[in-house]
Amino acid sequence: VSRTRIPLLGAAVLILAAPLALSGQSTPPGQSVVPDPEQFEATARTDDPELEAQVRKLSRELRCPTCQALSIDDSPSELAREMKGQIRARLQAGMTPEEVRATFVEAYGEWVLLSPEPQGFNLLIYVLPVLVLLLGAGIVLVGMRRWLVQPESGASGPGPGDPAEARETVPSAERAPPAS
Amino acid sequence: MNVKRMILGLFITVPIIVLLAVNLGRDPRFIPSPLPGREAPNFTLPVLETSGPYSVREPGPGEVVDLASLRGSVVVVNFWASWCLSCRSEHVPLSRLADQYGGQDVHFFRILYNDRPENAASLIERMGGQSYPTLLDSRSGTAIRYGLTGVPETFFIARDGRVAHKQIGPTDHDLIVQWVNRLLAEEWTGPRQEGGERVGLRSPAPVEP
Repeated sequence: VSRTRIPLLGAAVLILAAPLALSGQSTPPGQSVVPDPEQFEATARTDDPELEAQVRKLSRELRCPTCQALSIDDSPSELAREMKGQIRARLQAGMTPEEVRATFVEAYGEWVLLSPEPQGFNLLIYVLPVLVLLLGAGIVLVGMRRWLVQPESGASGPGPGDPAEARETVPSAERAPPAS
Repeated sequence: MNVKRMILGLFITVPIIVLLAVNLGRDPRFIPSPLPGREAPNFTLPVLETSGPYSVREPGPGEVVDLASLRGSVVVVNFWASWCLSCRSEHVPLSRLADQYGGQDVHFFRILYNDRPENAASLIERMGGQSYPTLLDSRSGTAIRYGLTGVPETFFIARDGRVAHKQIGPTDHDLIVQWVNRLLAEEWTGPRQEGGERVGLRSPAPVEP
């Protein structure tokens, strides 16, 4: 890989990894699975702003099972509406948001979480973007250092304003046979 | 330099090819369920009123079905709706098999999902009745606890109460017979509940796979 391309490659890696890393920042903490022995009847919207805020927050974290990549908060489907009612009923019954989330994971699996739990294989989703970002930053740093150092070592070559020419000139100068 | 380029190229292309190879062969509609192997969520649901022919062995209209009371029996639970075309193709094999397994420790139930009871009753009547009960899950609470992602879906519940298999999409005669026979063959030494004692009002008929 030519030296001028190293920083470009690193920058590309950084750009590609950035959205992945940002999505990993909304990591929900790992929660234990709580059994749900009771049958809850979905309840209607209440006047309690705190409860409704919790319902909305959880609804945004759960995937609508009958839609394509929509949270149950965004979905207009009947099932999503009932799931939202179930969240409200479970919160009203005294369950914590973590316990409510766990009951849905019990029924649907981790698939139902729009942000998977950072455990086991899922850790890759959170760790990999950071590793790729570090790798990209490393490539950029190494590339920049070589790029900046190069004009000084090739004093007889073209000026620093034309790194491409510098790249071509310096190796040929190094390859030149010693004066006999 | 060429070797370096080749390694870099492989470093970029191999993960992409592996990801595509793994994911392109997968049905995006298939959602793995955590339920098989675990205890089936209990339900206590009322029976839909229909005027078609009906089995005397199962709870009738106005009664409720409590899954927990059927411990010791194999239970087939099919979620359906009258607006679901695939569900109609299941009607004949389910009804016929529910009849053929009469007298054995097997119970068939359909649970109505996101539908009006009168629409379901009307369709059952037009299809010549149903030999086993349809249950009403008015607010989809049971459907959600079973992790339903659409209809039809069928759950085969073993004598010990665990979900043995979840069938996403339409089921057929052979699949039902295969699972029911397999689950009937399982040993059960636990207590027989009310549902098991009710069995026997019709003469048992062996069902060939």
